[in-house]
Amino acid sequence: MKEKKILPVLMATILTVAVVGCGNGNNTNSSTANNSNQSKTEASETGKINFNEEPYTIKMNYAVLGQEQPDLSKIEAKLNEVTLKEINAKVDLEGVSLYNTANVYALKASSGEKMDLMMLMPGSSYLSSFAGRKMIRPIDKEIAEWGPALKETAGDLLPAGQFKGEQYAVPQITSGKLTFGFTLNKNILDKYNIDITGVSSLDDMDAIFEKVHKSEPSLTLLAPEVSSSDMASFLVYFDGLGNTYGGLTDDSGTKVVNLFETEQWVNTAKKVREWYQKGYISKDVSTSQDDGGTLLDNGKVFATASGSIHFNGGATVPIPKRTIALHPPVLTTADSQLFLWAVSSSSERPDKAIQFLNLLNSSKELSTLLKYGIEGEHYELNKDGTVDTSKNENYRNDWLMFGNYNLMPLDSSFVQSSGISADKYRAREKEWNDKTEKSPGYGFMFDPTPVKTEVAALDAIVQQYRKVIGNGSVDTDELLKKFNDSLYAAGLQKVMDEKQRQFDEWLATKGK
Amino acid sequence: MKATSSLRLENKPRKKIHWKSYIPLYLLALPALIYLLINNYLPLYGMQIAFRELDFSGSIFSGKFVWFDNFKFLFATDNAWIMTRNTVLYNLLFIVVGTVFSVAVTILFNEIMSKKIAKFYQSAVLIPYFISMVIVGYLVFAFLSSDNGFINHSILKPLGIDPISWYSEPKYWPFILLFIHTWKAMGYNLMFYTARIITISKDYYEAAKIDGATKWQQIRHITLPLLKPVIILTTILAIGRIFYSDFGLFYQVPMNSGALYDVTTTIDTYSFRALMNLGDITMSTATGVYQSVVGFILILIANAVIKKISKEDSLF
Amino acid sequence: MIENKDKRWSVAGHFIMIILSVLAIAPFILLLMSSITDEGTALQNGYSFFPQKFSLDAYSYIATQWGLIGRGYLVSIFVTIVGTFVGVSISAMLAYTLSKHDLPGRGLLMFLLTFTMLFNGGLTSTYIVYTQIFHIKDTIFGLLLPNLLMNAYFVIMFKNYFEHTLPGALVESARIDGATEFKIFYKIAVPLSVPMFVTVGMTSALSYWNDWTNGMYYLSTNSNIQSIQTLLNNINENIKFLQQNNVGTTVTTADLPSVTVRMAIAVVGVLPMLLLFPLFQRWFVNGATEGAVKE
Repeated sequence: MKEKKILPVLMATILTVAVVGCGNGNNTNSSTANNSNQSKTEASETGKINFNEEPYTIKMNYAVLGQEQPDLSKIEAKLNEVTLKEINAKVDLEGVSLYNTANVYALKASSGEKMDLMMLMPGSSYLSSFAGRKMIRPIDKEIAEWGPALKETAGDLLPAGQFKGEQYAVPQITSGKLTFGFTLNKNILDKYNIDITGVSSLDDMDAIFEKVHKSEPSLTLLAPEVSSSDMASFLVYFDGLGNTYGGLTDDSGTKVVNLFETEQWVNTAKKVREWYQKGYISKDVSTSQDDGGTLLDNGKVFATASGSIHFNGGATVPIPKRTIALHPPVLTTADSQLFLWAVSSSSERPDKAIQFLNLLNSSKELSTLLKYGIEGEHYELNKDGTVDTSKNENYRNDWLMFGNYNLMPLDSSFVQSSGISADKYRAREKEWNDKTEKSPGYGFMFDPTPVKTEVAALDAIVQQYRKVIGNGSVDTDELLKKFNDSLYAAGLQKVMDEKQRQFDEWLATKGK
Repeated sequence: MKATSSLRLENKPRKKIHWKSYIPLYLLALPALIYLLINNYLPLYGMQIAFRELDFSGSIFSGKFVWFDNFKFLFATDNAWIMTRNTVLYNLLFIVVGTVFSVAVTILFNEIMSKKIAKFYQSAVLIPYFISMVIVGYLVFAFLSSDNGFINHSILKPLGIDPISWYSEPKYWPFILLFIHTWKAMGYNLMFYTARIITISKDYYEAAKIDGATKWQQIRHITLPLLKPVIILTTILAIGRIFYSDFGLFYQVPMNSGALYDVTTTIDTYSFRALMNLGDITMSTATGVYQSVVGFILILIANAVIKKISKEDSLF
Repeated sequence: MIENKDKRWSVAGHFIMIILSVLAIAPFILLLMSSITDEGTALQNGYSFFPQKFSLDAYSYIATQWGLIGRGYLVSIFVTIVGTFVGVSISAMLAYTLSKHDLPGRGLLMFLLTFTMLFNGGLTSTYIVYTQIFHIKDTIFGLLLPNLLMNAYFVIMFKNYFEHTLPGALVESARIDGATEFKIFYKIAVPLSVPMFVTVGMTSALSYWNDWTNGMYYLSTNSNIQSIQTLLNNINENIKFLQQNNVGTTVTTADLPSVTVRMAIAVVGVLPMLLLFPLFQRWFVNGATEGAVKE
C-alpha cells in the first residue's frame, strides 16, 4: 500500500510549490496597487497637464481580426508626436484577437501585465463581468477632471458605460442605431413587380412570400441573417437589460418580463413555424452554418430576417436590396456598448488614459489617423469630403472604436454602397439618429453575479430550445411549454426577480 | 505464459548494494521530471480558484473563499444526470468497441502479405486522424443535411425512402458518434497496436505451426496474451478520463443542434454552453476539478483491481 | 515468413482494409472537392463530390496572405520538429528509467507521473508560471513549452513498451560487457523501439502542428513567429465571432471568406502532415525489430 505514504509527500510538495507561487503573485500585484495609489495623489493637483515629468506610456489594447495592421508602427509614431505635445504621454497600441479578448484580458490581469486602456467589444458582453470582478476601475473622478470633451461629445452615451452607479467605461460614438425587419432581394421584387411600401407587419409578408413561392418554388425565401441566431429573435423588440432572462418589451413599461412567454415572441415563433411548414424556409435552417446575409448576397435566398436595418433602405452592393423595418429604432444600453474603452485596475496612471481618450474624441486629426491611416499614404481625400482607402491596404481599421465618428470623414466606398450621395449621408443619418428613442432601461446594466449559477444553467437551456423554436423547425406549441418549464425549473424566476430588484433600485436613483 | 516472462525485463529484486549504479538512470529521468514540475506541478497552485470568488483587484488567488459555490451550476438542472450519464456511457462504449475493433483490425492487417499494399492501407486509414473535428463536422453535414445531404439525396431518395432529418432525430446519434469516433481513431490505433504486434518474435508462430496450431489458435494463445498488457494499460488510462469527452465530437459534429442535446450533452459541452457568455474562469476551473477528482478516484480503483488480478500490469 | 501467413486471413485483411480505406479517403476527397467548389454552388447545393462549378477563389484568398502564411509554415515546421524531437527524447528517457522495476523510488515517480494526467492547474496559473517566472512570452519557447512538450501518456506508453518488448537477455549481456545505462538506452532500447517512437512521435508532431492555443496566449498579435494554425484559426474563429455578435457596421461577414475557404484552410493545414507520414512508415511496416535484433 504505497499510496498511503505517497500522499503526504505529495501534499507537502504541492504546498511548497503553492507558497512559492503565492509569494510571487502577491508581490507583483501589491506593488502595482501601491503605485497606482501614489500616482493618484500626485496627479490630481490641478486640471492642468504636468509636462515636467517623464512621459508616461499608455498601453492600449484593442480588438483586431487576428493580425495587427502592417503599418501600425507608422501610425503609432505619428500618434505619439501629437500625444507627447498635448498630454505628455506616449501610446503603445497592442491588438488582441477579437474572439478571444475575454481570455486574454483575464490572463493579463491575473499575471499583472501592464494594461491601461482596454477595448471591450462588444462591451455588453464584458462590462458587468469585468467591473464586477474589479478587472476595470471606476473612472468618474478622472472623467470629471480630465474629460471635458468626453462629456461634451459622448455625454448622452456615457450612461452606457456605467455599472452600479459608477462610470467604468467610455462608449465610442458609432454610426447610429440599427433596427430589425426584413432585407429583401430587390431584383426579385422588381421581377414580380412587388410593392413593399406600407408593409409593416409579419402578416403583410404572407402575400409577398406566397407570390414569390408560386413563381419560384425551389427558391428558399427566408433565412436568419446570421446562422447562429434565429428568426424570431431578430423579429421581436426586446431590451434584455444585460442578458436574455427577463427584460423590457414594447408594452411592459418598467416591468421585467420573460421574453419567451411574451405575446410578441410566441406569435412570431408561430408565424415562422407556419412559413417553415409552407416550405419557405430551408429544412437545415437550424444546423446550417451559412449566414442568411451571405446567402442573400449570392442570390440563394429571397429575404433575411435581419437585425441590421439602417436609414438607407438597403445597400446596393453586391446586389441591390430593399429593407422593411418592423420597428422604429430604439437605443438600448447594449447598443451603445458596442465599443467601450475601460481602464484597467492595474493601470498606474488612469488620469493619462482618460486624458488620451479625451484628446482622441476631440481631435479630428487623431480620429482620422487611427481610422484611415496617414493622408497621401493610406488614403486620399476626395472632393466631396469622403476618403478613398482603396489604394493602400496596409492600414485600416474597420470598426469605429477609435475616436469620434462625427469628426472623421466617411469612406467613399461605404457611402456609395448605401446608395446615398455623400453630402446627404450625414443629414439623413442625423435625421435617423434624432428619431431614435432610448429604452427606459438605457444606462442600466444587470449584475449577474448574485445569480451566476442560475444564469449558467439558463444559458445552457436557451441554446437547446431557442434556435429551433425561433426558426420554426420544431412544433412550436409542444416545445414552447417545455422550454419555459425548463427555464423556470432552472431558476428563471429568481433571475428575473433579482433583475427587477436591481432595475427598480436603479430607476429610483435615476429619478432623484 | 512462458512467452510473457521471457520477454520481460529483469524483474528479480536486486540486492540493494549498487545505489550508485542508479545515478545514470536518475539522470535520464531528470529532464522530463523538471518539465513536469514546471508545466504540471507549479500551476497546480491555481486550482484553488475553483473555490474562490473571481476578483482581479488584487492577486487572482486572493478572492473570497466560497467553497463549492462555483460547482453548483453543474448540478443546477436535470442536465446534471443527463450529462453524467452520456459522458460515462459514451466513454465505456468507446473503450469496449474501440479496443475490440482496433485489435481485430490490427490482427487482420498484419496478416496481409503484400507490404506495399499494407503501407498504402496504413497511410490511407490515418487520414481522418489528421482532420480537425470542426472540419469533420462540416463533412458529416455534407452527408446528413436534410436538403442536400448525400445520404438523403443520393441514397434514400433513389431507394424511395423518405428523407430523414438527421439533426433532429436523437435516436441515430449514439451510433453516428460511435462511428465517427472509431473512424477518426482507427488509423492511430492501427499504428499503435501494430507497433506491438511486430515485436512478437516469429519463433512463437513457427513453433505453434509445428505443433499444428490453427491461425485462430495462434491468435488466441500468442497474439492476444502478448497484447494483454497494453490493452489493460490503455483501458486504465481511459477510465481515468471517463468524465472527460472530446468537445469537438459532441459539440461540432452534431452542429450544436438543440434537438439532439439529450444524447450529445456531456460534461464538457454543458460547461461550455453554460459559461460561454458568463466567462467565469473560476467556474470553468471548478468543472475541471470535478472531472479530475472523479477520474483520480476511478483510476485508483481500477489500478487496485488490476493489481489484485495481475500485479505486473498495474500502473503503480 | 510467407508460409506463416494463411491465404484466407490475408484476403480477409485486404477486405477489411479496403473498406476502411474507402471510408477514410472518401471524406478527404469531399474535403478537397469542397475547397475547389465555386462559393455560390457550395451555398446552393452544399458540399458535394461532384460540384457543378469549380473555382480556386478560396486558394487565391489564402494566397493573398501568402507572406504571412509562408512564414507561418516555417515556424510550424521548426516548432514541430524541435518540439517532437525533444519531447519524445525526454519522455523515452524517463520511461526507460521507470521501466526498471528495482529502481528506488519508482512507485513514487509513477504516482507523480500519473497524477499529472489527471490534475492540471488550468490556463491561468500555467500562464502566470510561464510568463512571470520564466518570461517566455513572445519567444519561440512560448510555442514549444506550454503543455505540448511531453506528457505522462507518452511516458507510460514508452515504459510499457520497454518493459514488454526489450529482450532482457540482451540488456543483461550488454551490462556484463560493461556498457553504461546511457549506452544501453541509446544503443539498444532506442533502436529496438522505433515503432513506438514513430507512434508517439506522430501524436506529438500532430499536437504541435495543430496547436493554435499557445500562439494565441503566449504571443502578441504583432509577433512575427505566429504558427500556421494560429493564423488559420484566427481567420476561422473571427468569422465565427462576427457571426455570433453583431459588432460591425462597416464590416460584414460577406467581406470575409467563408464557405469554401474553411475547407481550403483545412487542406492547407493538413497537407504537410499527410505528406510526412509515408516517410516515417519505412521504419514501421518493415518491422524495425527484425533488422535490429541481430544480437
